Amino acid sequence: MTELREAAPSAGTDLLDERTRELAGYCASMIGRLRAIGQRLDQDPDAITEFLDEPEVRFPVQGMLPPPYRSTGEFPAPLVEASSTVLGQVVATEQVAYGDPNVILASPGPSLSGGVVQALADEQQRQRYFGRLTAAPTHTFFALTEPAKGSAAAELETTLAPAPDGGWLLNGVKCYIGNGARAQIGVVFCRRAPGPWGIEAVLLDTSAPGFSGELLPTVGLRGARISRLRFQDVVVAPEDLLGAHRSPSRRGLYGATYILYRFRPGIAAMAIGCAQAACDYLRTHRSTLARWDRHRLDGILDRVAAVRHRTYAVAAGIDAGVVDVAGIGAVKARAARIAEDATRLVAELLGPACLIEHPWVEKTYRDVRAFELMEGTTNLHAMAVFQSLLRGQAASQPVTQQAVDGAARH
Amino acid sequence: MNPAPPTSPNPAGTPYPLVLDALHRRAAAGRLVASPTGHVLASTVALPDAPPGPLTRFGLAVAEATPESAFGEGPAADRFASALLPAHRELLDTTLGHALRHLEGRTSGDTTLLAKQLVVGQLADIALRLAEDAFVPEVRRHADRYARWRCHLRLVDIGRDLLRLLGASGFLADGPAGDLHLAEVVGNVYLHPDTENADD
Repeated sequence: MTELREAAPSAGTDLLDERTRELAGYCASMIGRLRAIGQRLDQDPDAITEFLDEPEVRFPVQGMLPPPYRSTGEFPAPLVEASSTVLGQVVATEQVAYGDPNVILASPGPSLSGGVVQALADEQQRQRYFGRLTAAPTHTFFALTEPAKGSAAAELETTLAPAPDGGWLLNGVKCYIGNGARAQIGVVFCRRAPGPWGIEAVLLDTSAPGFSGELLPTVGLRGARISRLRFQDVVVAPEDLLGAHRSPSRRGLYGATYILYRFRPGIAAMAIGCAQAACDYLRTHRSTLARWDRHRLDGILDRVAAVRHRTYAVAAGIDAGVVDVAGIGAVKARAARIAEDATRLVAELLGPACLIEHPWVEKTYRDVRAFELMEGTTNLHAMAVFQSLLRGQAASQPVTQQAVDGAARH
Repeated sequence: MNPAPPTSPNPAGTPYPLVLDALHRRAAAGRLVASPTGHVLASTVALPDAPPGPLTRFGLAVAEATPESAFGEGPAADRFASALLPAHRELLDTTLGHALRHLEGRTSGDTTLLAKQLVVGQLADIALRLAEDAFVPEVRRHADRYARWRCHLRLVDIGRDLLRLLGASGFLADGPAGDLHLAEVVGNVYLHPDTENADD
């Protein structure tokens, strides 16, 4: 496939050590196959089941699993370990998304809910969740967003009320939940009591009576299988409450914000990978560009390099225990916009009818628009950036304090 | 494989593929208008035998031009290209109304999103840009293919900004996003001013 890897994909990678660069190269070797699988998923998002044994599908989720649950001997262990950090996830995700972002989003595995389980769950819950993922390909979901409140974690309205026979009953609706309608297990955020510490995270088996899910038709990124979920008197047992052994301020809302901050740079990485891929595609298919068009393309590539560098920096910061809330939101928002701008420019410069004659371009042109809405829109992150401006770029707060400060909206 | 029927993307308007069919009829009665690149884009109803593709689920079919198509740079093609821009703008007007209703129904804290200054400012800016575009003199708008393309790009900008305000619902194929995507694709095919093709 001549359109692949025309240029070095990772300009701005000076923050990476040798192992992480090796990880990037390893994932880059998967790009051709990922692109083929991604095209198939755009036609049929459930076709991921045809590819479950392929390394391009299996490797990217390995680093999201706790070490005891990872595949042994299948992949280079140092690279799996490297991909378990936030920076490693970002680097790997960028390359995987350069191939096709649908594949990682369509793949069975832990995603955000696994991060919540790792952060909050007791040993029995971890075994229940990750054991299931290890035993068979299992789709999972992370249900936070609601129809009326969006992803405002502190305002959610799904309720967890005491059941007459003990435990709780879950009622409410969640919207725009990746893989929700095809998942077997997931995490639902809900309100047990008023106030920020009245929010809980519960582990839910989708076979539970009262659970239903429906697919929502999206313009692009169909592999994500965005869904609407309904909970009608779903029984939640005491052992389903994640982090019951923790104080209320260290579970529920804390878990949501903790994991969103850790995963948000990954969305930026997907957008960066797609933007770079689009630019490289153009350079492959239009070997000559007018001078002004070259400048326009270079302008996009400047922005890609800048946001990549900043994404790596905030990711490395998270790994070091420093969460720059505004910075994390900023890279997600800017990367999403750059990906849109890149695909629009490429469609323009490729010439008339390119959105018909270049199916990959048309697909990517649709796919990248998802990054704007995933994990908070630009408007939300812009407010965090402004608050950061007001604070005069004060020194970063401890992680836990930032999690509380940033909990209002995500 | 039977093509899917056109979806009903817009709660308040005609699905874009059917709008497109009407433009074909108006530009060249009994014929479909081909783009300068030799493509014909119309609803899956108008082109039932078109091969399935990524736009089929949006209700849009793509076919190669036939000898019966209205071709090239002639009057029919010119009428069709001229009519695409008001159709796009009408779609944006409808989407703006949809956005107002949608944002009024979404709350943050004790207020609707429509009461947020940031959102209000963005909506007003979109309305201003739409109005400004409407006042571009026809002689300038249709001066040549480049003029139409500039107008198309302005409308695409406005549409993208509108859809961002809709949040995740601005990504649903059965909402305004589906129709606006089609308007962008149709513009790329029929309005792009270049005649030069890509290298391969």
